[in-house]
Amino acid sequence: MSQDPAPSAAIWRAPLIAWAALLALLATTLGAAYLPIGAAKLPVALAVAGVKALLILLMFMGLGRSSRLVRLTAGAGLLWLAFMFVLAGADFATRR
Amino acid sequence: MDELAAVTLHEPWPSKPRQHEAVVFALWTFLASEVLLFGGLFFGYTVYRWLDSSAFVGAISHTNVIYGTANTAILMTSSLSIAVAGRALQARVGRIPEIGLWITLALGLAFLVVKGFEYREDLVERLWPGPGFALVDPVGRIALSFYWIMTAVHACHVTVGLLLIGRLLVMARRDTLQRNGDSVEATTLYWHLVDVIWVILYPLLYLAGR
Repeated sequence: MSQDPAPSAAIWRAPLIAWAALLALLATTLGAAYLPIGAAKLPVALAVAGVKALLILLMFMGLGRSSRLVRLTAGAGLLWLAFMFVLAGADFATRR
Repeated sequence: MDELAAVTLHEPWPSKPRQHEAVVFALWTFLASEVLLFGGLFFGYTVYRWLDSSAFVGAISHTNVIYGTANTAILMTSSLSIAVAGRALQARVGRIPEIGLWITLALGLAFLVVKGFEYREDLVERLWPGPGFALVDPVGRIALSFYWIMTAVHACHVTVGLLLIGRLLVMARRDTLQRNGDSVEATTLYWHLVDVIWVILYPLLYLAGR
């Protein structure tokens, strides 16, 4: 019981590009883990992970197209995560 | 084309746009709470890695990067398949939504299967922080405890996601998928978050100390 056939490319294109970008970033972060870049390894790995997460949030979860309420909610999650890291982190950082 | 036209309106919402907004907002509120759940584990990891970086990283490097990388690729592909399924549903393109959901289910199961093999190898290598633990340094116990707990909690989330996808597939079989479009979107958002969490777990657990 198929309705009017929408152009398939519109369904596929954006997710496929996002997926290809994710795989490329995966290869990048895997490669970078084995490079002799010393202390830069962790920041690089986290930065790539951040970009991948952002890609998924924007391209797959449609956060860029979402209502302000939804974006505020997502932002609130991040904000409270930041509270935890900052406040609890301050506890540990000021010990010893 | 009105994406909400085929969706069934439920109590107590007065209109379909309102219902859709409520579902998406509620989901994101839940996802924010999930971020905090995993955030607690991430924070613990951060502190212990910061306290004794070389020992912690040395212990964590015993994870299998091949299994971890494979699982990352599998999960990212499953995000692709569920995203396409959702878009196809909104565009009302025949069988693609159901096929996309089946592919997502298969990839999610593949993730758990790979994890099973990975856990088995970890146990053979005595990386379980109990009696007979392979590593000498006590920090190693803590580091690998984080590995086991974070991956296990994540695997539980994957399992829940697969049950949710299974529910959608039952709807697809009964041809009620279109009118439950909000359910599809909710499950899709949850699944993508499971992927986001893994994407951040991956470098912390698999790329450390290489």
